[in-house]
Amino acid sequence: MSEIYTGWVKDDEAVDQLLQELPYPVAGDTPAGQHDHPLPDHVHLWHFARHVTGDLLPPATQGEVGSCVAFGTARAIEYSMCAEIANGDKEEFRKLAEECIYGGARVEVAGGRLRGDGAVGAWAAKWVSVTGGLIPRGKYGSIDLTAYSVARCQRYGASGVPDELEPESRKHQVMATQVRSWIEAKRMLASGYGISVCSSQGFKMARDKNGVSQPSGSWAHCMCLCGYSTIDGAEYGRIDNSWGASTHTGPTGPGDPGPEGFYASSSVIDKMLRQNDSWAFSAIAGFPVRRLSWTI
Amino acid sequence: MIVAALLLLAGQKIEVPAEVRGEPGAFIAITPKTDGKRVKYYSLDAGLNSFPAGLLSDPTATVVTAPLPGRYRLLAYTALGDMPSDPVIITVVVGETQPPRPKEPTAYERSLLAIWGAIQEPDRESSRVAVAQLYRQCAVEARKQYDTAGALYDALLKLSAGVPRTKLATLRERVGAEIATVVPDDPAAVITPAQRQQVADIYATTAALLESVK
Repeated sequence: MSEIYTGWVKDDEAVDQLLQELPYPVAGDTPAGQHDHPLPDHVHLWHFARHVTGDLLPPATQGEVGSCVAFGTARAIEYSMCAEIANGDKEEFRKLAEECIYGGARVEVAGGRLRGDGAVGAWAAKWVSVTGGLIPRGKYGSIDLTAYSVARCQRYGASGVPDELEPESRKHQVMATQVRSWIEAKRMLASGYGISVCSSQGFKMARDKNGVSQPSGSWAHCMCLCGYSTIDGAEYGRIDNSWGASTHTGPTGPGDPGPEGFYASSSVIDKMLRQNDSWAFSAIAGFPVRRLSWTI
Repeated sequence: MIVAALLLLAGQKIEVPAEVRGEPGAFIAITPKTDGKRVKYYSLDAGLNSFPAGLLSDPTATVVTAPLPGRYRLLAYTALGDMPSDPVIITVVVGETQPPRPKEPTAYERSLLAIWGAIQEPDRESSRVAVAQLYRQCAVEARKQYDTAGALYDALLKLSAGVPRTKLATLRERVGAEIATVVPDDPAAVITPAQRQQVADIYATTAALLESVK
C-alpha cells in the first residue's frame, strides 16, 4: 500500500470566526436539525447518487497531497446535491473539482499562512459558502479541470484558485452549518445533507462482516459521513474516505455502499463531531426538512 | 269464449335474441322468454349442431355449437294448448366475436402519452424499456409491508439504481406527481396497505402504458 495522506489542521479560532458569518451556524439551528419526527433506522445517501447518476459516486483518491479536507467537503456536497436532485431540485449533478476547494480554503480564505499541506474544515466550509463556491469538473477556457490532478491540487494549494475561476465559483455557492453531535448528524443525514467530518480519530483498515472498522490510532483527517445503519440494535455511521477503492478491505456492510469507506460506531463518530470542525452542506437555502418528491 | 281465445292467443309468445355469438366449438346457450312449456329448435343451415333436447333440464332452452366460423340460422317455435306460435329465427354468429372496445385512456394516461410524444432523447427507446421494467418492479415492491412513506420511498429509490433520473425525466416527474396524490411527502408519515396498493396500481398502469407505446 502506498503512503496515505491526511491533511486536517485543527484551528478552533477559524471555526469560531466562521460560525459568526453563517446564517445557520450550527445544525441545531436549522429546520432539518430541529425536526423531531421519528428518524428512520437507516439512511443511505449513496442511493440518491445511484438514482441520480445511475451509479455510486466513484471512489475518491486524494493522492500524495494533504487535501483530505477538500475531498471530504466535496464528497459531502455531492451527496447533498444528489439528494436534493432526487427530491425535486432541477439542478444537474456534476462532480466537483477538489483542487479548487483546496486552493480556495488555504489561500483565498486563510491567506496562504499554512506552510505544509492541509487545511481547516472551516476554511473549506467558508470557501464553498461565503468567499467562493464550487467549480464543477469541466473545461474553463485554457483550464482543464475534467480530471483530478495531484500537481494542480498542490499548485492551487500554494497559490490559490486562478482568478478567472473565482467568478465561476461564486455562481455555485452552498450553505454550511456545523454538526456537533451524533443526533444532529442523524437528523441532517435524514434530510439528505452530507457531512464533512474532521477529526484526529483513526481506524483499522479492515472492515468486519458488517462493514464496520474499529477505531485505532490517530489520523488528522477529513472524511465524509454519508449515512447510517442500525446493526443488532446499535447505530453506525458510514464514512467515505479518499484513499481509493482498495485501502479498506472486507465486506462493505448494510446498503451496499462503495469500497472506499467503512461503518463506524455512533459513539466514536459522536466524539469525532465534538472536535467541532464538521460541516453539513446544502445547495438549498435554509437546510429544509426533507420532503419526498416521489419521482422514481 | 272469445275472451278465452284471445287470452290463449295472447299467451302464444316466444322471445329470443335476434343474434347470439360464440367461438367455434364452444357451447352457445339460448334461453327464450316464452309462455310455452317446450320450445322446438331446427337448424336451417348445415354445420350448426343442437344439444339433444331431452338431455336439457330446461325444455324451453337449447345449446348449439358449430365447429366452423360462420353465421347460422336457428328456427324456434312453441305452442300453448293447440295453438302454435309464429316461428322466430335466431342468427348464431360463430367466430366473429367483436373485440372488446379499447379502454379509453384516463386523464393520467393521456398526460403520459403527451409527455412521451414530446420526449426527444436519443436513447428514449432503451429508456422506455428500462423505465417500464423499473415500474414493474416498483409495483411489486409497493405491495410489500412498508409502514412509513420514507421506508417505501427508500425501497423504491434503491430499485432505480441503473436507471438514471435524467432518463425520461419529465415523464417520471409526472408519475411522481401522480404517486404524490395518494401518499404523503413526509418520510415519517404512516401509510396504509390501501395506499400502497394505489401506488402499486399507478406503477403497473404506467408500466403497461410504456410497454404499449413505440
